[in-house]
Amino acid sequence: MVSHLSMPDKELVTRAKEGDEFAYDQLVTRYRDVVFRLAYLLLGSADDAEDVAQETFIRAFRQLDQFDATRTLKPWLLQITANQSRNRYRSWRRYQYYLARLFREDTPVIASPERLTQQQIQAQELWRIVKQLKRPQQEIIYLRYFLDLSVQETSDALTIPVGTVKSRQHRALAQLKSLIESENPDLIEAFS
Amino acid sequence: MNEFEKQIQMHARAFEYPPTPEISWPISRRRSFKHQPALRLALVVALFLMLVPLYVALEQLQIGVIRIEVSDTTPIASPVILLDLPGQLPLAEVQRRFSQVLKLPANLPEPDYSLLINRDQIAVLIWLSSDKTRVEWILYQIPNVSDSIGYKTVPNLTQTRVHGYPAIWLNDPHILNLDYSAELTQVVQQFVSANVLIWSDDTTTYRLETESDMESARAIAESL
Repeated sequence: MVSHLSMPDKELVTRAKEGDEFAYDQLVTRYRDVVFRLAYLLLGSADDAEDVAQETFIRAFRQLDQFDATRTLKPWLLQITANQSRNRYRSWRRYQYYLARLFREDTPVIASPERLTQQQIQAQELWRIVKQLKRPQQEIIYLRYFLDLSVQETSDALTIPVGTVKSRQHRALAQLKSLIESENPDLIEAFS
Repeated sequence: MNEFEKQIQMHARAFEYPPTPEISWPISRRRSFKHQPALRLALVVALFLMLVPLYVALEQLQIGVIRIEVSDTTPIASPVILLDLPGQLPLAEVQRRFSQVLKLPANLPEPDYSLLINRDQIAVLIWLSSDKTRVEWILYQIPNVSDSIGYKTVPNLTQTRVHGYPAIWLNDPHILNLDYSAELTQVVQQFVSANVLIWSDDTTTYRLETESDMESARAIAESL
């Protein structure tokens, strides 16, 4: 019997469409990190990101029949993740979460500062500054630099042309550079 | 990739994410769950029943339509039960549909969100922090003809006044029950860890939720 672990995505998708639940479980295992991380970057909350990650895989499962097998799976999942995150960001449900968690200190989901390396602290600072960009620009930065997607994969994930990815990325980087220069000279030094 | 991009990428790769939670099992369960509506309904009901907190009421206070049960048990946070809370509307629409004149605090800007709940009986206004990441103020305006609203809290409450009317300041965790038993259109049970000022005038009961202190809340209340 061939292990699901070593199967390529396409075969797992085919099997999942045919009702092989283990195949879909394997896809979840394979992509849960990247899905959760994108949601976390976009929403800034591990709880929200967990919900979005679950919703993403549920939606993907329900839409699997419509998935174009010639596409790669990761950008498609990240496309759903980005959509879900946008919806959540705007939705009333999110304000319900605000209400429920209101005024509670944010749970420190990141390790305590003394445990972080200097580079991790700088990464946190970078994230803080990226969050000031417009959301489409944030998405580009996260996909391209935090999650290491190629331009083509980013184009697929955001369902925008490659040329738009490049121009949006250019503007996002220029804006980011300007923000770093104005807000955190130490980080500028780190970049020099 | 230019030098700046390389540096961004290097720092971005060092980003420490929270551990990815175990989502495989919930996803697997939900995938099979969608085919079992009866089971789903049963579980929702069971969940609801499980989460109804059991408290021994020692004393009751009433401010306008809000009934406060004082208990010696500090509630603990539970998963939020929200059967539905629709009603987000533009402020002008809330003003038009609300049965009373909607009162806005003079010393706050226009609210970020406004809604009507419970068949338009209750107006809720929400102000976010300037960076839009947190709620700063929530003001409920409840006509005194509404059904009673239950509160469960601990004894640590402060009696004060707003424009001369009796008011109560809660600054301990408590449970808010919006329980419209007459219609059962919405049942909301919510753990509240914020501070809350409750007061009532002749026509309306107000509930102001905030992380600010009592004097700041009173200043907002008296600016309505």
